[in-house]
Amino acid sequence: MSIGRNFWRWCRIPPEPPNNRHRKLLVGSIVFTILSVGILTSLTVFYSGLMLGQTSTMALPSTILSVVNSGDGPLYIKNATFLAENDNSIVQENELGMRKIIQDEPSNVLGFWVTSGYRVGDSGNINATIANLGDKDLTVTSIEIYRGNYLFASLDGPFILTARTAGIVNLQVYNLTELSKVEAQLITQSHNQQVEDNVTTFAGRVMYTAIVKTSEGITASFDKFLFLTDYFSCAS
Amino acid sequence: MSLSIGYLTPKQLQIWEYKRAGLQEASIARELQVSRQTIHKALGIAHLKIAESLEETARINKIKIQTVNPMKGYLLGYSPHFKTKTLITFSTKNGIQVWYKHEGDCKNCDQLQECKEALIAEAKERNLNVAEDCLPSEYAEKLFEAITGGRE
Repeated sequence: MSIGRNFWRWCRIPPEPPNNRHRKLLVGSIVFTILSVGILTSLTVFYSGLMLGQTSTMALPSTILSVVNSGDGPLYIKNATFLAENDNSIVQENELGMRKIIQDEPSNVLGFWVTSGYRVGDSGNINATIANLGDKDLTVTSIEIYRGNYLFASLDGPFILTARTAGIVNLQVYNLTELSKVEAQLITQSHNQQVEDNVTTFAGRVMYTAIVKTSEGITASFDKFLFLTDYFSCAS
Repeated sequence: MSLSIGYLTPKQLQIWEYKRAGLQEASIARELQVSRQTIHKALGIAHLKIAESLEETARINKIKIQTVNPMKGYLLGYSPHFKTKTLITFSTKNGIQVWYKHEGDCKNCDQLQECKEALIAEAKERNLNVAEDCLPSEYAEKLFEAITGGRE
């Protein structure tokens, strides 16, 4: 990209901030006007209902995470978006983001990256659980993912986790907004690629409680189960 | 431990650097005479911390995050304030650095030498060969293209 004689290049010194004060004022005025009209209308309807003795409920603004896969692989969750929901639970923007679910070391058994924050010593994974069984393969019957106290998504197995072999787990989740229509697929595959080929970028974290159950009777629970995404965008 | 060094301990930084240089975990373990599990765990923590540092820097600078890669040590984003692409890099030598893409004027910049040294250090750490006789802005273009794989 170029403007005039100079090219656009990377620089440690930030550019001059664009002068958009007038535009901001204009936008602010418009937003203020719309909000004022909206509030007045809502209050009128609300108090009219009360005066008439009706029970009135007002939709409370809140958000829900919607994770939609773009469908063009390679098997990562993409395009997370905020949408409205009506249970009054607010998901803070800075809590939304992604962590990887894949195991990026070909020589390791499958591992879910979990953490209770970024403090040293709080990380853990399912490796330890598998390791206790030696080389025995595990069959995951389900992975239940909770948001708050309710089941947000259930990934039904069986998924074979082979101990001490290459393992990469990619998760595809479609349309988690519609909880009744959750379609999720967990794919395991071996890989021989270099780690760098499997490095996936992410833009933060989405944290849920997850419970992994195996047919061997193992139940591994994680306070924070973090989805990985490649691209991430938020729109209120 | 501070944000500028990704909250990493010296040992974690060393392990992360080895890994980024292409060493396998087993090789790092042999080098440092510890178990591979130890290296694996330390790397996991290092990646978490680096990701957090990059994200924190993005939040401080009000940068909208697009891509984070703690393994390679960079975050690609967009600054709504400056209306331009932004790159945050993390390296052993320079720590956290923020770069903006805009119409720079290196020739008339008083930070030319400092900037150039930072970029050369970034390149050396990442085993990248870039001619050292060009302006920092040109140097950065090639360097960051190599680091991000052309994502920027």
